Amino acid sequence: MNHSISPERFNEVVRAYGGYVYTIAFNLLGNPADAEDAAQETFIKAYKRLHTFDEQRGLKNWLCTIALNTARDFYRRSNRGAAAATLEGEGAAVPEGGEFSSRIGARLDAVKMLSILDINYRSVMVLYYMEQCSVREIAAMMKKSENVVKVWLFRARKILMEKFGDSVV
Amino acid sequence: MKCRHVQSFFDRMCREGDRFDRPDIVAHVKQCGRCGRDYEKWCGIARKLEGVPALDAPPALYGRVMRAIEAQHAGAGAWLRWKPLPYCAVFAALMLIAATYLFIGMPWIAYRQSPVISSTSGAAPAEVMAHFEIYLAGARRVALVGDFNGWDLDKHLLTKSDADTWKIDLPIKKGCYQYLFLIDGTQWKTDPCRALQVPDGFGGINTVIEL
Repeated sequence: MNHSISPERFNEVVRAYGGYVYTIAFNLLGNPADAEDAAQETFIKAYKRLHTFDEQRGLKNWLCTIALNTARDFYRRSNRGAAAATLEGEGAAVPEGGEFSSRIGARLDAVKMLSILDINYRSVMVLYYMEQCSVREIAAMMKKSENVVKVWLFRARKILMEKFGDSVV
Repeated sequence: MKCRHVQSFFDRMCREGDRFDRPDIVAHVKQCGRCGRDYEKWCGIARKLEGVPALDAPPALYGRVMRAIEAQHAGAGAWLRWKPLPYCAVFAALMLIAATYLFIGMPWIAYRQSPVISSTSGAAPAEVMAHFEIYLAGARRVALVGDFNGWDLDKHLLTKSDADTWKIDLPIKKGCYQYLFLIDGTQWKTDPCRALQVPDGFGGINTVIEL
């Protein structure tokens, strides 16, 4: 057994990394309700796979990988047209009131920008710019070569520059 | 220096600023109008992506996750109890019992089984009124969450009486239940009025009530 988290202490993991996992899911899905469901599923998967956790790899990285794959599954399962319409409309379903909603509002601008991208491009952009992962880490998480990740980043940047470049200068 | 070679360095230029160590790239960006404009555009987009504050988890997420895991845990336990049984042995045993019953017709099998079948009947347990009370200065919302309401975070809210005392009376079927108070949707608290407490299996403590 190579894991160092006992099932009895898993509640501490959920408390410590709940915000981190939720943020990744929100960045990819752009919808608070879906993000909460994806975060819940992420932790359940993590609990079931505690035996696969390798301490050398780091808990944050391990959870990030599970969160990424779970959110991508959610994206594929959900109605993409409806998700895009929500993001591009007057406002996504943001809970009202408090600091929580104001932070979501601030992040929603960035997420709206990424919503025009294909899920692969969106994933690498979220990990590289918003979660500050390296190309090597992203390649390991997505099971792609580093060159593929670099190409996806390049194409995603190009699309964003063409669409939003004039509005951000 | 070709423009397509330059564009892959925009990221590093944005992040490292004056410390960027490729003078040929910097010189190209300064003199090429198109690359200069693209560089400015990209820095604007990168700032927008990188400068976003992190989110906190929604208050209900923790409760949802732990309830789901607890349910999974219970399910997995039942599965594990059955897993070690070799299926062929179970099948063979069932076949043997069936053959014995049908062909040999030993009457004592039916005799031994009959009390087991009749023992399943029973009346539904009666309800009793349970009183829950907790003193909390400064709380805005207090919920009672436990086995008796399926750990629903919103089903049973306590009402505030005088001097920051929160109360609720609930009709509950007789039995033994675990529960906690949820304060303002974020903080779990055991019941200080009841001494019996048990570990919840996830590192926390639940209060127990026996009715």
